Amino acid sequence: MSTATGDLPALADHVDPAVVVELTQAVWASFVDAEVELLERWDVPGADELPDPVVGRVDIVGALDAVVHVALAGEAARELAARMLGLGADEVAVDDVLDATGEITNMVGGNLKAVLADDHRLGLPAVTAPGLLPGTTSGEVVAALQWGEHAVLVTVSHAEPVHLPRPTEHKDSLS
Amino acid sequence: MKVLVCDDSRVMRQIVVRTLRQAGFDGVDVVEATNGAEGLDVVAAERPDLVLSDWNMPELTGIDFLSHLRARGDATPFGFVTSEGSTEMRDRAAAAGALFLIAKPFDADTFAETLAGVL
Repeated sequence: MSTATGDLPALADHVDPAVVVELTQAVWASFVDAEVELLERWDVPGADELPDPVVGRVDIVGALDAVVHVALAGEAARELAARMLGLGADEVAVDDVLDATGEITNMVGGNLKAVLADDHRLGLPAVTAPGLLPGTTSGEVVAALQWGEHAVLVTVSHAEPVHLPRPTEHKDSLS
Repeated sequence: MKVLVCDDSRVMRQIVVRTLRQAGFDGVDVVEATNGAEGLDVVAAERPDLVLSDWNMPELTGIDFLSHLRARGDATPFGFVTSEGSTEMRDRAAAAGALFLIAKPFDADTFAETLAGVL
């Protein structure tokens, strides 16, 4: 995935990590876990450090051309889906895990878009494998949060807006 | 009373239905669609009293779904439930004929307050 930042505006000038943390917390409190707070972390893991990671992606197309990723360990993503559906973790299907992760990413991206200028459009969410994550770039905005024992990693970076299909090989690894 | 919940996410459709119940609309019948194109067919077949639709969906977006409905003379009450909660999107929704826009994340109180005069 290209992360060319050539003449694009600096994301750090437009996206406040504290805002990313705040709106992710709001999404979590409403739909995932109102009992256990999502706390900001200072030791930031890489998405590739999360076991069996599941990564949601949504593009914010416009002057900033930003892409939002939300990454969790596979076990955390399964718990996320269970919480959102009101089921036990052993009752959720792989499609539910991908759907829930995509929808969480969609809400974080949509709420972030709402605080940017009006000349942006939100793409459709997708769930992808961590190998497609952009590497850390100088323009990347990172927020890391703690959900119980789980880490939740949110990144906002420049990327060429592409709607990624859900890779079946990644689905198989979650089964 | 019948409500069409239109969202490409099964998880979100479940959350919307659950929130409807929590907001006190227990007796409402719910039908579902996964995108705007399917929503058009479901409206024609089921004649719901209200459409609750996402905005960004494959096949046909929520705003196009609403425009197609109105273009064919269908005045079914329509509201958005979407992560697109900016002033610009609210203005676009209202201009197209939507009664309201509920931004995600939402809670049962928001549903109760917003839908009280509709359902």
